[in-house]
Amino acid sequence: MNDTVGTAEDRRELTRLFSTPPGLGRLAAVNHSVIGLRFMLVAAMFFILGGLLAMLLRAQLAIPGNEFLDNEAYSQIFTMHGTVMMFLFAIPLIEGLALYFIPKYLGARDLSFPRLSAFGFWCYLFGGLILLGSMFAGVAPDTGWFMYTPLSGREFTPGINADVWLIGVTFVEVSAIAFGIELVATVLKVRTAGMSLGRMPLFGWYILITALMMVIGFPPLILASVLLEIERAFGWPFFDVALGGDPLLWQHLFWLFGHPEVYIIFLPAAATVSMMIPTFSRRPLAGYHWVVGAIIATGFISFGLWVHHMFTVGIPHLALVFFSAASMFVALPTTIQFFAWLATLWQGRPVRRLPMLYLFGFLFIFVCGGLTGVMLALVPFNWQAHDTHFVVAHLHYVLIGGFVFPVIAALYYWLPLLSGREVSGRLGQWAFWLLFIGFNLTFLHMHLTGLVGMPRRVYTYPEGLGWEWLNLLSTIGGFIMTAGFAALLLDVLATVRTGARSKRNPWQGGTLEWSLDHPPAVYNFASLPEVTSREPLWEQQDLAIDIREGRGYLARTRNGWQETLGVQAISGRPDQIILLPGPTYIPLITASCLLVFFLSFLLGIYWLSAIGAAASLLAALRWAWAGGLDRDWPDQYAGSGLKLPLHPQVIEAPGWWGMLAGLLCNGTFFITALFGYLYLWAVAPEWPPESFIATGILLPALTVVMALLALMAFHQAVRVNRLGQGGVGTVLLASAALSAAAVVGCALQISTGLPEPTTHAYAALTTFLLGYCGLHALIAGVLGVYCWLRLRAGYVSALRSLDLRLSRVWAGYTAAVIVIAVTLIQGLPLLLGVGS
Amino acid sequence: MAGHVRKVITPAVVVTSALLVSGCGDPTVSALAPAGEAASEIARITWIMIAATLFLMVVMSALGLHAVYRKSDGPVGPSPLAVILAGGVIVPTVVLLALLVFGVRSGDAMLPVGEPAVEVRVTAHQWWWRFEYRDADGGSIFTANELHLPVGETIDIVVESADVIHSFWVPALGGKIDAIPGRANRMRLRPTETGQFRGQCAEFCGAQHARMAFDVQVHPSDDFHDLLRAMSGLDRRDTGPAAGREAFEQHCMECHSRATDHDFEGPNLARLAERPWLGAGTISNTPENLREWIAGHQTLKPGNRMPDHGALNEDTVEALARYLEGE
Amino acid sequence: MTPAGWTIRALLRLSAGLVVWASAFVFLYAGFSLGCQAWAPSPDEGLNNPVTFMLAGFAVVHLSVLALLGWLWWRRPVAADRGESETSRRVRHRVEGLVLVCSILALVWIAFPVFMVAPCAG
Repeated sequence: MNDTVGTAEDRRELTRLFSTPPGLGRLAAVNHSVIGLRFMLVAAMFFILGGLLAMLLRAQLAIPGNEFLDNEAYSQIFTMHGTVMMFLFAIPLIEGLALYFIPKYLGARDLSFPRLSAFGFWCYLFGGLILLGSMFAGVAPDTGWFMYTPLSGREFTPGINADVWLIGVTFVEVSAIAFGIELVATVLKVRTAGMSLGRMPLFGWYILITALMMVIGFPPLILASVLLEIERAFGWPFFDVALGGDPLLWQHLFWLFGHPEVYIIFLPAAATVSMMIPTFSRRPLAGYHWVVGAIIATGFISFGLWVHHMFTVGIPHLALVFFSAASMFVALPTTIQFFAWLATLWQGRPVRRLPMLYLFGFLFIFVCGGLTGVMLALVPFNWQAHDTHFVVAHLHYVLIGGFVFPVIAALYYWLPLLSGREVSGRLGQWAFWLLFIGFNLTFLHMHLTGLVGMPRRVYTYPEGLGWEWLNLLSTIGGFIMTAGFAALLLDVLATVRTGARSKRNPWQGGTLEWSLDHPPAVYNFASLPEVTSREPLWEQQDLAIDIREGRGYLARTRNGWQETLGVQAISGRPDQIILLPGPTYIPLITASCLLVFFLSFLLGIYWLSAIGAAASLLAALRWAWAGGLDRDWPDQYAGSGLKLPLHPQVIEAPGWWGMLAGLLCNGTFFITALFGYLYLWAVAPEWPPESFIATGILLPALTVVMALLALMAFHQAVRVNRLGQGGVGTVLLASAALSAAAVVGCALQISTGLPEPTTHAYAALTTFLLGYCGLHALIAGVLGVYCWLRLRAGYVSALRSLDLRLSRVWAGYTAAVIVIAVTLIQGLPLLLGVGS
Repeated sequence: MAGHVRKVITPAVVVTSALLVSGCGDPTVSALAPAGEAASEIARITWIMIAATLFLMVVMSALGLHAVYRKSDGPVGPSPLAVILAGGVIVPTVVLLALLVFGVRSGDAMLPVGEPAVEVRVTAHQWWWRFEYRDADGGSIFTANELHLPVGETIDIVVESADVIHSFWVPALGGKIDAIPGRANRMRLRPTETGQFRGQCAEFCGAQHARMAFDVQVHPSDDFHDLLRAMSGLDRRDTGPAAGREAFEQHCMECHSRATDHDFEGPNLARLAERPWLGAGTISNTPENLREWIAGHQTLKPGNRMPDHGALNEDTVEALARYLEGE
Repeated sequence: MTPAGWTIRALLRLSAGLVVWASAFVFLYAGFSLGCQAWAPSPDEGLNNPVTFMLAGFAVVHLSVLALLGWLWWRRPVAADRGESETSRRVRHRVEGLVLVCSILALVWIAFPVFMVAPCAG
């Protein structure tokens, strides 16, 4: 079938279609390579900032009784150092890395939702700028990066500092959620033909699990931040022990996020290692399925460790032991990966190149961090070492060893691909030794600093306790490490600007990204290959040339469409052609509306904040409106004689998976809120409250019935539409009206049945849960109207039913949360015999 | 490549020997110089785990180095399955399970089960410590920033917080326990040696977290009980010069007491003269420092909760100092 | 079953063991916290108390479910999806098995301390 082979003309057209416009048009960029690079560059800037902050801290601690920084400056700087490194450097860097590389590994031209990743970038940038701005205004957060209440509450931190953290970080987390949803849908659906799950490069597995962990791991933090911000702004006492709250609830929620976070950072770094080791060993990774199993196990077990940050808060010993055991067990999946790498090196013929040097640094430092992690998992030892410099040393071993070193190795590994320049190596080796020696000189003996009694987060310490030379040595080491980073930066800049042109695939890697031009074309693949193995470039003769010369899928262009393949998640059999969006300002506009919402909330201008929220919702609907097709299309040729439907006409479109991932995230948020409700009920000292909800049975029953009827109406709309019958519009309007009734039901329960939320945590949390239900019913109602408008505008047909089906899923979720929340709220007092 | 190996090993050796030379830190504040039962047990575990960690570090680094920098070019070592199974599953399972069993037993033995011989109630404040003992008649004795304990007896420390979360920690005696609003946490200590130690807050608690230390003195059992009797009912309101007493009544008495049975909002000052430090470990308690502290504590410990006394004239400061010194 | 449903089932099957483990973890931790509040057995009773019995029950039930899953894994290996290669199916089968073994080990790992110490002390 010669007519399916792409021509030079097609490649020019692909370039035109996938390019980002020049000038101000850059703000409209959605291309994953552009967005991925922006993420990585901004993250690198924040890394430099965070590093400079660390140097200030080390300078202050160099000698006892130093007066270089005062306590207020020190508190802000150490809080910002942690916050910047965790939220503005590490997480965004892995996001950028995955956004940039995942389509290149999976043989796709872009991600499932390019506009969503652009939106995520703006949220990250704006949130980061809020935090950065606060530092220059001298009101940066100053209560430590885990923000323990009540220190971070209104009484002890009356200024804006804590609000900056809560709002800035939550804004940044929006981008993490966007990333999670995007990557789940992409890895499952947007791959090239033949790439079944079992043939997917491990990079895909690592990122899939990381994305799922983010979808489940971030909601507890967002919930905690929202609750604390409401407490600070309106005085609802979620964490105030005098009014039925509990400061430990904050710690549970924070670490429920905080520990998986460590693995969210580590897994993508391990992913790069699992890609580099086979390349430099010249053989596929040993024990592929062992590593897949290890990744999945890490994903689950890392959610069972969080209390090991809370061993000293007074939880009974056996409960600590559960978490201690799980914390030790989680070392197993990691050692499995370690020995899989080792076995690969032994089986292969290792090539000693610059990235391997950094991989060695990773290995040494991370193993040490892992072993001290096992030490900290031991309860009695933790009682001594907790909150000392031992922990500071441990966490830097884990994060710098387990993240920064592999990422630098990956940087050198992929620099030829990214920049088209050859890596020379001389300065890079210098940088390595400065970093390696500087790092160990800073942190190795810091373990001892902690064990001989120095707590963390002290801005000064007295003479004569034996801490002087330990600290001085750490400071010297810190500055050597900084010199190493400076050398690294110089080397990378020099390589990018003046390095020799790199030849294609300089390390002779076996995965698809090395078949691309160096640097890659904006559309990645001129044609999408059919892969038959995990290392297609090693196993399939001339594959790279075939891809470039258009002998594959979707090599021809038509209708000005940007196309890529969608596949069955398990088998990798192509099942649709995904039409990708071109450059648009809508992600920037939506993020800007959110900025208005967050910023005016921060400044206490609540009316403007409400306008910002409404504008965000409208912008999101406008965004959704731009998708879809306004007429039915027949199946299209995809090459090799294959005819496939377009994605808006497929049951299992990427958007469907995006919705599922989004609801998984939302559901975690809801379940975490229920956990908080039950937790306070069971554990908080000032319970029970003076009175419980008193609405009678009718109002809650009606609310539940309305929500269920709304779901049935959405269901009926989908059914009628599928059968091609009329009257879909009427049913949709009915569903909107029923949803509105459910909103009223929730609001009435709050206003008639509950005391003021400021009086007790019970009233506050019950109001919060009912408000959550009401908000969801409200969105369901809006979706009903939206679908009705789409139907009238001709975007919905029996074949193009995605809008309706997504709304039905939302209505189903809404009905479920209303049933659960209302039953729990009304039933629990009755069950325990304390109801009115 | 041998050069590379040497470059790795040299700093490792330097640092390790520095570790050994440094010993176990200052005996008043080091977890590695234990003077209590729990601390000794934990220090023992610590040394074992450090040794195991170093051993495993060496083994795993050697394996990694061998894999990359070996001479032969072809495949070496056992089959991948054997490597993963032995190194990744069997060895860590055995080692970690043993460690876990050990940890559970040892942690369980440290729990406060059964009646203690002495109970001290501790209330953490931003940024000082209140200690409360019971005397023989069940009355309360209050002190601040000084903790006295008998050697060889079981002691329960019951920790509460007056404001934010703090953490009670005497590294030489045992682990730490958090002070959490609304909760009373209990920790058991049993000093095995007499002497003076340093305790401090371990959980970040705001501006002066760094200056929230307390003095711990472990006495022979008889001495301890004598001291308790001496502290019981100690009232120094009327000792010292009259000018000082008047100044104290005018400026200080709203928050500070000079009698050990009175519990006011600020630190109890009945035994100020006997304490080694001022301002919860900020400076040592010398005559000059005392005067400097009264006049300029907001410079010495910025942000502390005591109102600024900068306006006090020199005579008043002198009178207050004499009164507090009990002369 | 819809393709999406099929995919979700396949992914769940891949990680089924760990889902059971997660459930066991929640039951042990929550059961312990609530049990100690409800019954508050004294440490002197040792292991002979309702909380330990309950936790042991949770562990045994979850372990049985894992054993059942293991039996199913053995008897009815996962089938290939349409167009899926045998290699890929085998990877899923093996991962499923490894995850099951890992879950059994992890469950034993967190549960055996229940039999070592009196539950509600400290």
